Amino acid sequence: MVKVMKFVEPCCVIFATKGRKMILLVQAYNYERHTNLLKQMYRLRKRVFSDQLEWNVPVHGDMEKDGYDEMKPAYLLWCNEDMDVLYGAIRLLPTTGPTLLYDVFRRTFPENIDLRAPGIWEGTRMCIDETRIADDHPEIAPGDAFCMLLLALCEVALAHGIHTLISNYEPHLKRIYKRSGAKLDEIGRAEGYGKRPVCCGVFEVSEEIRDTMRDKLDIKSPLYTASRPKPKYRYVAPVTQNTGVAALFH
Amino acid sequence: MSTGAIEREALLDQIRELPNVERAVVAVRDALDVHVTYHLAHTVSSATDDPFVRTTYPDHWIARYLLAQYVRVDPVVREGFQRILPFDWSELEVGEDAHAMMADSIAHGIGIWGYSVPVVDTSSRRALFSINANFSETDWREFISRFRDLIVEIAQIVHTIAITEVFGDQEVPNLSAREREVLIWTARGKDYKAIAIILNLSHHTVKAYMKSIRHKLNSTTMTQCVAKAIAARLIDID
Repeated sequence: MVKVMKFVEPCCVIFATKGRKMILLVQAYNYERHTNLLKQMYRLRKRVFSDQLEWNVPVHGDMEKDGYDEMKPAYLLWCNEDMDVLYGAIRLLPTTGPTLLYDVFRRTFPENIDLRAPGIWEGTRMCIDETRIADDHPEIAPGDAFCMLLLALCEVALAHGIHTLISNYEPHLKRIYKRSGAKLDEIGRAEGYGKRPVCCGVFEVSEEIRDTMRDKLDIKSPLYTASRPKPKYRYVAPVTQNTGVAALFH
Repeated sequence: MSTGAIEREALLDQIRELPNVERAVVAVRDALDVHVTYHLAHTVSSATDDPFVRTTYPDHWIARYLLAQYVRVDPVVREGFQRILPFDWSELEVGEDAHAMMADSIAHGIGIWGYSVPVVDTSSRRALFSINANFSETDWREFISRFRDLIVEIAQIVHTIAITEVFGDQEVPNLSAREREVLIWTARGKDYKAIAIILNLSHHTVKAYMKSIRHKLNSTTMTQCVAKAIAARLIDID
């Protein structure tokens, strides 16, 4: 068993030198472990939402950060395997609590958007670092990169009992999303928030949609896999009936 | 494990009608054959009070837990309020300091499998709703894949009961214009497919509106929503 592992590992390393990507789910309990990536995320958000899109968002130095970042949101981070380069990010909050989108659209749009239920979550500040993706992954087109992040979001949602995502996007992205197999209804559009209108959409989350998106983006394996602590630190470790764990130690 | 068909709507209805969290956790335990715990986090207005916890764990384990002050090391409590997405306890990282507590819990016949749902409401109050079982790993995985959505829904309902019990207030439902439209068409006998055509939305989006309406009106069925909304004069049917 051990010999096989030793034989396999170097191959993986060689395979991975071209910068494998990974999807991390970061929540308040492990913010500290990922401080560097979170800082990169705030900086990326400043560049994208404040500098490029000219959204009216709170900027602190070279970072964009708002009150919803104080509500212990979950962040989906797309980064390299060494976890030192960030490619993209999304912020997730449940609609049963305070949500950015409903607040923004309430201010800017007469029709109040206010879908609230467990299983319905909002995804905001979705952004990608086009320059870094172009450097490390020239094979991925910027439009595809957005859709890959959306696919990762769909996978994360499915793994957590989320059936609907509310998210905002630039008008032109709707076509790109739909082409990638995503299903969405636009339920609101806010003018005057930035250079272009901001759309609010209801995204369906299902295994069917995930599979369609994987096909269209030609992605064979899951982008997101739930991280589990090493067996020693696992909650169920001491008495697990899984013989696989025992076999690992013999 | 409970394998019989569970009448989801009947169970949700039954829980909603219960007067307090104590009764609610027992009802969930009896229906799903798991231990159930609801834990409301400290809030500003109750900072000096004891935390609000209701559980179906046996008394001997509760006594042991309190005596040994396991709450200080319990990874579910320690990490649970720092999470926002539902989680399986096997995702938790357990420090050395919690190993004694885990061994002790097993000695007290407490199951090793658990699933927790963090709850956040519009007033930013946080709670943790957890279930715990002594199943085999296969049974546990199947249980979670079958009942996760139900547990997430129950967590919210129990939280609503807790808020009424602790703070005595009930949020006044606030339906959006679109939600009122969906509700009015429902009252006129249209199903989600017909409403989707009328409002030019997908089936999924109409169903999402319906879920939102049921959540806000704390109801299991759309029929109950229509009745409540008319009584509260949220909609007007002629």
